[in-house]
Amino acid sequence: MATKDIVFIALFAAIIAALGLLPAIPVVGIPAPITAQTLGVMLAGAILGPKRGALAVLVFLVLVLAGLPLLAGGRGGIEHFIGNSGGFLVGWFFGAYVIGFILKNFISDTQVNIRAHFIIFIACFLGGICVVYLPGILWIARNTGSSFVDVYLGSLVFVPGDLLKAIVAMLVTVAVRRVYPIALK
Amino acid sequence: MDLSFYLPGHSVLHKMPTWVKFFLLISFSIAFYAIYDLRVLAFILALAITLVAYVKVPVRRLKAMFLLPLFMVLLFSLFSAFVNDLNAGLLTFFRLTSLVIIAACVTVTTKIEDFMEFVENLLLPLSFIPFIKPKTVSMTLSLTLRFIPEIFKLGMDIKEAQAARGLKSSPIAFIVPLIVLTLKRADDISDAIDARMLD
Repeated sequence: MATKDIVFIALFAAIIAALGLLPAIPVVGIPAPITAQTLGVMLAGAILGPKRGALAVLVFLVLVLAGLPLLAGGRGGIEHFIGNSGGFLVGWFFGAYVIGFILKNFISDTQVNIRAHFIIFIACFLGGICVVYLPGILWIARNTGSSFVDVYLGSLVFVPGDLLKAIVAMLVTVAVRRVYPIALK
Repeated sequence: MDLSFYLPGHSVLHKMPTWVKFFLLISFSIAFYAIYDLRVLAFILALAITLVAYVKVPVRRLKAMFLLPLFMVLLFSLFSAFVNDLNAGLLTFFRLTSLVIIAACVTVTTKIEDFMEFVENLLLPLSFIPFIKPKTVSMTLSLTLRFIPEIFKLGMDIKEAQAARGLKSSPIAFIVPLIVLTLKRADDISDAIDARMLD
């Protein structure tokens, strides 16, 4: 890893943290308020690529684990990894990797046409929603002793908000590619 | 900006080495799930609450730290009670509440520097992997810490600039300049690090 890769990782981890400091946005018609933090996780993978994106998320999670109040709403500490959100936090790491992996393998680093829009959205959907929810749901099912299907149905209320985030992530990624393209790693 | 939950003090938890605290916490989180007797779990919860009193967490901090996690625990316990039965709901409530409380006590009694050192030591056996150099890891962590307030301030500036031009806040128009302006600095920062030969 070159020094610049390390700096990219550190700066993006700080961006994810800064996005968590923004107040949550309630959206009409969606039951769960939207925080910009998971958007930051999607963007880490989409803008930096699989390895650097996942490592940026990891750096952020280590700081949360260390007890810094960086999760959306000024929360932090090891208790959030043990509580019900723990699985989702772990899922962020893999989600960022999958998003970066898809982008790196299916489109070129500077591509911004309709096809690129589509691939970026699909990547954010698969990585940022499917991959993130899987450990999240498994963890809650284990914590509450409920069946996977029950928890899965219960967590569907968050999906509309996350779909909206995948769309915003797609638009932001394309805009960043236009003005400041970065080779995915 | 206060970026730490640490509370100075002289309790046993303050003096305990960081790795012992984390080892105990992980052991607890496995052990509590092996207990199915509600009386034992209630006793453990009582002990956990005593621990909070012992560590002397001020009430203001308590509210900030516990309100949301405990609300979530309550929500999930109710969920569990509904889809399974009352007993399952109570089991979830006792186990998770105790763990959340104990974990929060670890958080308030561990300095960030101590935790960083713990992470560095944890990574030491892995240093044969090319990019996991403990020095690099701690540099990355401190670089992130250094830039969080700065990026937050940049965000505020962008918001202000957009408001001054009469623009309504749009997440895309806000995040794009935030990311581009931040990442553009990567060149300067990495040059500065290389110039000091930290590698």
